[in-house]
This record gives sequence, C-alpha cells and structure tokens, in this order.
Amino acid sequence: MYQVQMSAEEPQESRPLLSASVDDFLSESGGAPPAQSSVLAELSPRDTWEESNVDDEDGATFDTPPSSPLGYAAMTCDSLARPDEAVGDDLDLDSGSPDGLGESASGELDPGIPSESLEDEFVKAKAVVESDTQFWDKMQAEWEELARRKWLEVEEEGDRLTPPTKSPARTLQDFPFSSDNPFTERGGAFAEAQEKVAGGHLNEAVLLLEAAILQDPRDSEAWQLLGTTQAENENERAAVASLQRCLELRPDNLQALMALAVSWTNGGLRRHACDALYAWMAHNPHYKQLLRPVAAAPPDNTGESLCVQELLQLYQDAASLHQDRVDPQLQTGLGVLFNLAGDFQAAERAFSAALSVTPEDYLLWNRLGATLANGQRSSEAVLAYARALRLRPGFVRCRYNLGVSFLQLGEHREAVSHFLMALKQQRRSDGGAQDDRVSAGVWAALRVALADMEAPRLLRAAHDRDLDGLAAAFDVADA
Amino acid sequence: MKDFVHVWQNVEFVQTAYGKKTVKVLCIRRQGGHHDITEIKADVQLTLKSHKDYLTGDNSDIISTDTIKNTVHALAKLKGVKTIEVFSLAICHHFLTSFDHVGRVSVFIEEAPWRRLEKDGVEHAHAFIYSPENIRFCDVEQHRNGIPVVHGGLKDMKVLKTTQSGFVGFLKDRFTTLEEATDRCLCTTVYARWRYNKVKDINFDAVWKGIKDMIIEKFAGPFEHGEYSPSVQKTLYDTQVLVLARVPEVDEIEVIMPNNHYCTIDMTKFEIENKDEILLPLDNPSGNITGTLRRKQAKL
Repeated sequence: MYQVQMSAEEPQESRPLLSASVDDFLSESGGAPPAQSSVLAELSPRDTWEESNVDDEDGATFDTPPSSPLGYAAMTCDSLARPDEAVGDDLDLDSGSPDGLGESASGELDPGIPSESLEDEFVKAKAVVESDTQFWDKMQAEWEELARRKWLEVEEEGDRLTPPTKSPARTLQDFPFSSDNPFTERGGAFAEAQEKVAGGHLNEAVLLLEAAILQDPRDSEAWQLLGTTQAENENERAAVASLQRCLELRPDNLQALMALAVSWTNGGLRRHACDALYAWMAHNPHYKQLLRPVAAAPPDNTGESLCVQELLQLYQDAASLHQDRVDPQLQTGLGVLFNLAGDFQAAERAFSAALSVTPEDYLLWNRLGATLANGQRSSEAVLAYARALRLRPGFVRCRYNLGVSFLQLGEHREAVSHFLMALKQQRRSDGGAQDDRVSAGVWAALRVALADMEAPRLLRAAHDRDLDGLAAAFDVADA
Repeated sequence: MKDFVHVWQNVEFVQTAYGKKTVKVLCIRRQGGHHDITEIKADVQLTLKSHKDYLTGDNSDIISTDTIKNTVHALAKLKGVKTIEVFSLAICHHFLTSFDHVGRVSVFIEEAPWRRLEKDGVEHAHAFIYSPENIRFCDVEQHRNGIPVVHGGLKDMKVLKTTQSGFVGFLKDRFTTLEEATDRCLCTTVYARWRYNKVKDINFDAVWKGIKDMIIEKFAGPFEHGEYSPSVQKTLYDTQVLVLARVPEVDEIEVIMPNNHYCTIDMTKFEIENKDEILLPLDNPSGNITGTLRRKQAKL
C-alpha cells in the first residue's frame, strides 16, 4: 500500500504548511483560510492512488519525491495528462517496462473515475497551492519589513546586538544616520573628521564622517573610520553597521575585520566573532598560507566555520611563524580569542605583548583593562584604563569601562563622575537631536550606580535624563 | 568504502562527541564507625581530534564508552568523590592528559540527595534517608590547552507560598480571561545553573549551599510576614541580583521558574462558600519563566 508521507523535512520548493495567522482567518470572507488544508487531502490521494495502484508494493517510479505536494500535483497531472484518451489505457509511467503500473492494477485504472473530476481536483489543488504560496510570500515580506524596521527600535538598557539579518543588500536609507547633521554639505569632511578623531572629539567626528559618506557612499575608508569611532564612542550597534558596510565594499580590510570581531565579542555573538577572525587570517598576506593546508587536508577537517579552539591554534601557529618579532594585530586577535575562551590570563599576556610594540596604542590599553576587569582584577584594570585615558581623554568607551570597574570596587561616586563625563562627551555640542540608543548603555550603568548609592532624588533625575542637573550635583565640569 | 567517502565533499562536520551516560557510583568513606557517602550519576562526553571514526569506520582512536565507564569507576576510587565539581575536573584532567588525541571533555554529574539520619541533634553513624528537596548537579567542559569552565546548579526544588504573591497590570487583549490577583498562591520548581569565574580555591559546597539559601530567602522573604512578589519574573531577577552581589566567584546565573498553578475550586453550585481555602493543583499547563543574568562586562 503506497503511503503518502508529509514529513517535516520537505524540499524548499514545497512550502511547509502551517496554520494561517489569525488575522487572515478572520478576514477571509466565509471561505476556508488559506493553507489550512493539506493539498493532498484535497486530492484524496489514498483513494486516487489506491484505485490505480492496487497491490503496488514497490510503487511506481516517479521523478519527483512523492512527499512533495507540488510534485504530487505534477505527477497527478502527468499521469493523467491525456484526458482525451480512454482512461483504461496503460499508463506508461515506467517507460522501461511495458508492465509498469498496469500490471499490478490489472492493466487499467478503475473505469469508474471520469477524467473530468480529476481535472477539477487538480485545479482545486493548484489553487490551494497558490494561496499557500501567497501566504508564505506575505510572511516573507513581513519578515523583511521587520528586519528593516529594527533600526528604529529603542532598546531600554545596554546595547544588545542582534545578529545580521539575511535580508537582501541593505540600502543607504536603512542606515541609522544622525538627524540634523550640520556638516552634510561640508567639503573635506573626511579630512576634518580625522582631525577630530585625533583630538578626541568623537561626537563631531561621527557627524563629519556621516556627512562624508552621504556625499560618497562608496568611500570604504570613511565607513571604516566611522565604525572604529563609533566603537570608541561606546555605540556598538552603529559600529557594527558601519564596519559591515565597509566590508561590503572591501571584504579584505584587515582593520575593519578585527574591529568587527571585537564588536561581535562584546555583543556575545561568538560565531560571528570567529567568522571575522577567520576572515582576518584568510585575507592577511603574512599568514594566509597557514590556511591552505586546512583546505587541502582530507575530509577530516571541518569547513570554514572554525570554533574558538581551532582559531586559537591557528593564531598561535601564526605567532610562532615569526618568533623574533611580535605582530600587535595578531596579538590582538589572540587576546580576543582568549577572552572568548574565558582564559583571561592568556588574554592579558597577548595584549601586553602587543603593547610592548605599540605602547601608545590607547585601544590596546583599554583592551588590556577590559580583560583584567572581566578576569576579576578590577583594581589593575583601573590602572590600564587610566593609561588609555591619559593618551585619549575623549575615549568614551574606556571611560565607561572605568566607571564599571569603580562600581565593582564599590567606589560609587567615582563611577558616577566618570559616567557623567562620558555622557557629556557623547552629547552633541550643537544641541542637535540625538538617538536615544546612543547613550543607553551609559545611562543604564549610571542608574545602577545611583541605585546602589540609595539616592532616590538623583535616581529620578537619571530616569529623566537630566544630565546637567546630575553633573552639577557631582561637580562634573565640561569635558 | 573509502571511495564512497570522497564523493561526499559537499558535507562538513558541525560537532561530534561520544561517551557514556548515566554512570552511577556510590562512594563510601569510612572513619571508624562513622561513614560518609556520596552517590553520583555521571555523563561523560569526549570529542576526538580526528573524525576518522565517523568518516571511515577506523576505530583506532576510540576510547570505548565501556572504558570511559571503567575510568569513572577507577577515578572514584583513586581520587575519591567528595565534591562533584572537583571530581568532574579530575575526569576532564585524566582524559586530556592521558591521551594526545582527545580535543574536548564534557562532564555532567548529578548527586543523589542522601541525608544522614538525625534525631534531636544526634547524627546516625551510617544510615541515610533519600531526601529529594532538590538535586545538586554540575557540568564541566574543558578543551585541550584550555581552562575548564565549571557550572554548578540545583534543580527540582519545589516551593510554595500561600500569600504575598500577586499579578496585576498585565496586558489584556481579546484572548485574555485571566483575572487580576493581589493575593494568590505561588508555587514553583526552581532550576538554577551558575558559572564560576575561577576553578582553584573555591569551596563549591559552601557556594552551592549559599545560593540555595538565597533562592529560598528571596522566595519566602522574612519568616513573619514574607515578601510580596509582583510576578515570577521579578522574584527571579531579584534572586539573580542577590546571588551576583553576594557571590564574587559566580559570573553568570540562569534561573528557570515554572509557575505551578493552583486554582480556587468554584463551589457555588454546591452552595458552599470557598474563600480560597480549597484549591485544585494543576499539573499542566504551567507558566515557565526564565532568565540569565551576568555581571556587567567591560568592553574590549
């Protein structure tokens, strides 16, 4: 007895059938909701096939898998495609042997079934499948719209990153540009932005870079600088968006890849961090040869998605290639990987090694500090952060980290002062409107600090985002 | 056979692991007439460096699961089983150091809740009673050349309070029939799992007991008048914050609290007034509230 199976793993072409959304159900005027009935049930397959395939244990040979409703509809159409012929003619499904179906069914279909009703059945089935398709097309469109709208959502606390959506190539209009940008017509915006970054005025740098990008959206350097600046400005979401744009234009940009790996690590998205670190290795002219043996190896090795441990081995192999000199970027990669693996002592060694080559790199000092902090060594972390801030007082992310460490150490007043300073630095000096999400993480941390201090009046001020009032209360001068 | 394997180049491994589960062992420690016991149930999984066992049927690297079971037995004797976290670490250490080709070891252990018999403050020398107020468990994972990651936990801890629980102000739509309540029973079966941020010099027993007490403390509140719970979510979050605040060795904690519902039985048809005194315990469905909290992380 031939059994039709509706398995869960249907091929892509035949859409799995789920119940329609309630709204569809309510809006249907009397008719059955789409996609509620099984295509096969419509066709009453058992009856149709059993009548034609009595005792057909091995089943006929089909081109399409029998479990696919579309395939089935096609089969039904094919097998009964000659309505003008007498139904009793042997159905040559199995072209090889003259027996085929005919044999087991004693040579003919049940003459009691007129071909017209089968045609009707097919038309009905096709209609159901089409409304089924419509239903899924509608869902797909809704999902893509939601993905586009994600940029407009406001997160309450912190900056939880969402993994990149698989939506089609994003257009410029999806990017969360700042509103009321006074620099949009500015010539030489990129050069000016570079100066601002060097001077530690991250806020204005961001606006100038966005202006440069609006003038030339294909400027991958601008996208890269915007990404790294946003990260320094403690705006991870924007950093990720910018770095991704940069990599769309130049997939082999090593600095962007490493910066993105760091951002993904901060956001807890390990898989993406690993992918970025793998790509860094793959595009790096000094080390990419290390990957070739992996590709050429027997099927033993896994594919491109290496996990943290495998990447650690790869990066350590790369480090041992040149024993006499230290590559600070490679060590940064190692530091990030050790952070992902939870081995903070090894991570500390990696960042320290990098700092031995470039002791003025304020980013590395912050990374060392963050590693120490996440490894429960808050007092040493504070020292590392202080070094970074001496080199770059406008380094908002580092100041945020410093505040967090002071919180861990129980120094609430210090923590609050630094959070307030960071918020002041993030605030636009021209008074333009700023997206609420930009400082969400810092405000959240500030509220925690104030809650611990048991100062309800100040906590209320924090809920109202009264930055000036709080700054006055804590004697925080302008940055 | 080998040829057939090479044809399938369009597949790749996502993960592999194998081992023995539900290896049970009872450990007796005798000090004169005073006996101490620990009974455990262990699951051990190994991931080997090579995939040849899966690919070609070459078993030369496989440490058989029977051997894994025997190893757990032998290590129980050689290392002793006092604290399940420490024993798990010992199992990981053994497999990673005795063999070159093991890439990862993962151990999950549950401890049987034997409680020594005791009467009027006097303990029995060697008799115990099974007291499943909660089940203690742990899991440890370690990669070759990596540091072990240790999680402690407890589960199946069922607690109930008959007041100081309410649920109001929730969203109502066309499918809502639930009435607001300011005084209801709250019953839950707590599951908690937390991650340690270091491995050496930790008193796992003390931390476990401390966290168990904190969960009960937040649920029940002070003995005289309890503590109001506006929702399971709030109680869950407060518990996690308390743990992270008081236990510096823990970096992250996951808690799952189902809401085992008890409903007042409507006796108006019997012309009996039931003032929330007789309730019906419902097996299913139950609410299920979860959350994972960790210390604020510094940003790299």
